[in-house]
Amino acid sequence: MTGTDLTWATAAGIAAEVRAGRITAFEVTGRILDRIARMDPAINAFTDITASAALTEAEAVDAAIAAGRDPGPLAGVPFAVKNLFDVAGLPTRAGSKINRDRPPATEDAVLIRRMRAAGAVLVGALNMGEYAYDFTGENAHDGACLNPHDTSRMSGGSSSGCGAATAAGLAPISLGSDTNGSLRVPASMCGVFSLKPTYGRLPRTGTFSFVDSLDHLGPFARAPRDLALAYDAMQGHDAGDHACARRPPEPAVPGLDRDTGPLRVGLPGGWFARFGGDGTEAADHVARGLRRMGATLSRVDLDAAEAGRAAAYLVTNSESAAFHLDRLRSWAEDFDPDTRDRFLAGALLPAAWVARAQRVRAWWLDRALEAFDAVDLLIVPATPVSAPPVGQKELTLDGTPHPLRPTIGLLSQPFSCIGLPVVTVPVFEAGAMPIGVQIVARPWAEALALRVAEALARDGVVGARPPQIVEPQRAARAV
Amino acid sequence: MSRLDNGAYIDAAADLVGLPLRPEWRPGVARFVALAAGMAEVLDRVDLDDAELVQAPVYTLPDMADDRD
Repeated sequence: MTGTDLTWATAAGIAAEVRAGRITAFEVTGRILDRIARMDPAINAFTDITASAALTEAEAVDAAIAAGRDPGPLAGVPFAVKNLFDVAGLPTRAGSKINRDRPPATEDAVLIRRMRAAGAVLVGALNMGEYAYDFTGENAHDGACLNPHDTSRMSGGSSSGCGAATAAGLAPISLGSDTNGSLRVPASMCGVFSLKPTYGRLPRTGTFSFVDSLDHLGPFARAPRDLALAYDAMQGHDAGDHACARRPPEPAVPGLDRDTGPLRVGLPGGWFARFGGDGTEAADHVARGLRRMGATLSRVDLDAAEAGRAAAYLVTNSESAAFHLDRLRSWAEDFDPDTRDRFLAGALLPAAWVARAQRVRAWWLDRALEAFDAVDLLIVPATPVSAPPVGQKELTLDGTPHPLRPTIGLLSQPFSCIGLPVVTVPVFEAGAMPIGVQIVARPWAEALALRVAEALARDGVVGARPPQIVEPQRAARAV
Repeated sequence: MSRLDNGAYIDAAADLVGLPLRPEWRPGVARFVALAAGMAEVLDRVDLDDAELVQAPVYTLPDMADDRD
């Protein structure tokens, strides 16, 4: 691999080359840092580049190999994290202006430590919507994160830098968070894969909360196998997160190439069809691919999702506002104007609405589990549209204009509301922006969703594609 | 949401929780309170049984290293 372009190499491919001694982790890291320096100004995905620490970490990987020790399954693989992860030496800004006055983190988040223990090399922290209350990738403090496939368009949020950096070849793996869709909306808009594991699967220790009841962490990648490698490296209970399940790791990589078997696939109609928009055709494309693989398709009634989405909205609005109440009282003027009004509103909601939302959440889980009596997986669009232009404020769905920010995740919210695992897969149609499709599984069945995503990618039904971004310096010289 | 049009609820609730609301923020806050009210109406249409009392978050005490009988 020495001398060849690493830009679109998979994490699995990089690790194999590093482990075999055909390239050093130091060289991989140096090349990705160079590419970040050249290309990131076009998309604004990174807020911090930890170059010096990254090169030191890479040297440690190379030293392990030289000493005959196993460097780990992600040896030398560069990765980056949404800037709500604690990174030792950096204030955990979580997309805000207010947090950057906090003292620097004294240690890395647990998931960063686990990735590093597997040999991966952290290269930086990534842009995000303020306090994760975002689906657009816009940020008044750090600037909008732009879509590598068309820099006039949104990256999606709130894990905006993750979707953009991974799509642009600046980080084969990135780690983000998802409360209502923030791992899935940017994956959809930027045309990459993401895994939102089951709620409670991966520990959130050392990350800045948005909505404790709904927050998940997970990886982005350009290939399902890379998702599985990162996921396996990060599994396991940690006492620092009260919601982290006491389950032993259930590795996904060993079964990734197994036959998917006689899958029963559910396609929700009704409310999902009404608001599926352009995503419906992408979901149908994935469903046809599964049918060619031998799956049985059936329509399922999941209209209870509308109430699940409403419950997620109210729990999010109220719980996040309560979490930020002191900051809203003292520094409301320092919030991003696009999140401030929503946080303020959340602090004013009647408690009875939120208590009922928690009951409806449990009711919606029961309805969803009933659907899983008849199917193994659900196929649902991740977003109703591909990436809108930066600055767009309204979204027309089902013939009615809606405010864009709270609406663009309406197809993802129902599933994070009840914590189901979801792999988002990218669909590209000729000449069009990408759009993602959710593969939704039963609780704790991440391995099945990943296996199906891998089979779809192997058959060419889904897959990431290199974007056509222009290196800013070269563009300037060309003018 | 006509019952919110005069802003009386927003003013009272903001005062109660000690939130300063600048005049220029109020229209946006009112829009989001109205949006939340619409979500609450969706929840009201769900026919919940009185026995459905599962609530989150669930309060759980941690295991203790020195547990004894």
